[in-house]
Amino acid sequence: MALTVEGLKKSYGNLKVLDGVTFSVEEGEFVCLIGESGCGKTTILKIIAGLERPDEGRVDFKGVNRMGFVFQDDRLLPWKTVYGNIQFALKAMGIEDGEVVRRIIDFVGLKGFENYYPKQLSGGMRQRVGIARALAVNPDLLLMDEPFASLDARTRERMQEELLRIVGGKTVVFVTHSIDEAVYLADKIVILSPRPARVIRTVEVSLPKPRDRASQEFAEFRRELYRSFDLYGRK
Amino acid sequence: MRLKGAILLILLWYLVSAFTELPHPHEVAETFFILLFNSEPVLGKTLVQHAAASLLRVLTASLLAFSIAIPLGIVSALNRTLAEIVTPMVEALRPIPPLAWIPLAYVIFAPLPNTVQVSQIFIVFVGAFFPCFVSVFDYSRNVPEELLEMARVFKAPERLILRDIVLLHSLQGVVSGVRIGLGVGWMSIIAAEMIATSGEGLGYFIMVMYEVGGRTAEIVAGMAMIGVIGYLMNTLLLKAEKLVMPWR
Ligand SMILES: Nc1ncnc2c1ncn2[C@@H]1O[C@H](COP(=O)(O)OP(=O)(O)OP(=O)(O)O)[C@@H](O)[C@H]1O
Ligand SMILES: [Mg+2]
Repeated sequence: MALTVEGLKKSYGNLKVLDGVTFSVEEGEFVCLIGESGCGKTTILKIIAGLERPDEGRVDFKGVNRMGFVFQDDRLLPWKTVYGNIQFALKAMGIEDGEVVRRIIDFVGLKGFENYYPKQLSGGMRQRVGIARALAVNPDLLLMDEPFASLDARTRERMQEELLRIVGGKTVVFVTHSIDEAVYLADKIVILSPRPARVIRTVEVSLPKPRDRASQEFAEFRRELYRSFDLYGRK
Repeated sequence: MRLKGAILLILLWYLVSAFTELPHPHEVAETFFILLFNSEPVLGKTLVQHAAASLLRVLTASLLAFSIAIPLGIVSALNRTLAEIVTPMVEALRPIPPLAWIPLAYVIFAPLPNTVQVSQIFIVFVGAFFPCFVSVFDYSRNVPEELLEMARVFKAPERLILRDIVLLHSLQGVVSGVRIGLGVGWMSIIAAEMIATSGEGLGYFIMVMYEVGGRTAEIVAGMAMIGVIGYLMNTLLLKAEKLVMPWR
């Protein structure tokens, strides 16, 4: 087990956000958190990353030394170029390796934009810089908060494919709104209730990867998930 | 659009000149261009020389002010104890206009051989210091929390956070602080020069032109020079901003 999240409770003032969230992530597993807007998904990631403290509950790691975080908002340094922003994460770890930065820029399809400032990039490109920054540190645990939300459908699918290719055996916790995205990416889907969030169902996605979005099995799996959303999601 | 504004201003100017002592625009323009490079007989100096004298005072005093205001602004923003000492002082002194310091400055600096110069430098210092400090302090204190969070996730050491996030964010405060400080400094020096015999300087020039018999064309030509230089300084600094902060 790489990560165990147990009984997380969190309130902001009177607003109860998390009401006992429990799930676990195996080493090398790709887990999608899915739930409606405002239910507390970002809050869960922040607690895992140590940016917020839960009121109750705990998070246990095993074999996690480096965490990468792809934020929902891109959080790029406005005064650094694409290159500089990615390099920042490496410098934070005391690594000065230009080759890694260049390779990762190439990887996320931003070659030629190394010297652009965030302001000069589109929303989707900024998001890709954020992804590149998280990958650059070669994390044991990758936390991703709706990283593809601002991409167009085609780029989004391409990035999903590439993401699976790069993260290979990495442990990933990936937040999304999209059932399709979850079914395509996840080994396991954690379905959260509307706020206050609880885990209402955990689904193992048994389909072999790479998955064919057009296949019968894919469609069936998706339909099944939609149904459970209708049952539990909308109270 | 700009041209239309300029034309309207000149028309209005003519209109006002018709009913008041205000010299006509063409008279001022003539005086301005003659005096630009030809000495005006009473003080024996050209407008350019007067402008250079004022500018030199402003630059000296402002640089002095900035070299204290910038580091103090950053350090106070990062250090709570220092902030608690410095901010009340600044808040108490800041509302006092630089000109209000003039009489006191002349008394305090009277024992020095060059009282007038020192007082003028002091007054510009006061004028340039506070806007610069406040701007730097505000920016340094308000580094976006999201960026600091990001740095924490990547376990960035304090030194890196300071260099790559805090200082670069403060730079915007430094740049606008310098621009505003110089602007206030420029206004202060003109006023300071009007109060005592300074030998040269645009403020002094205007004052003397008044005292020798209300030579309005010269007075307005001097005022125009003040405006031109203020405008050029601001424009130049805005250009420099783009250079210092290409990401904006
Ligand atoms: N710092 C905070 N202070 C107060 N309330 C907060 C804070 N952060 C989050 N919340 C509240 O907690 C709830 C959950 O927020 P969170 O960002 O975790 O939702 P989310 O599931 O990520 O939503 P989305 O899918 O829209 O990103 C929201 O109602 C939000 O208003
Ligand atoms: Mg969110």
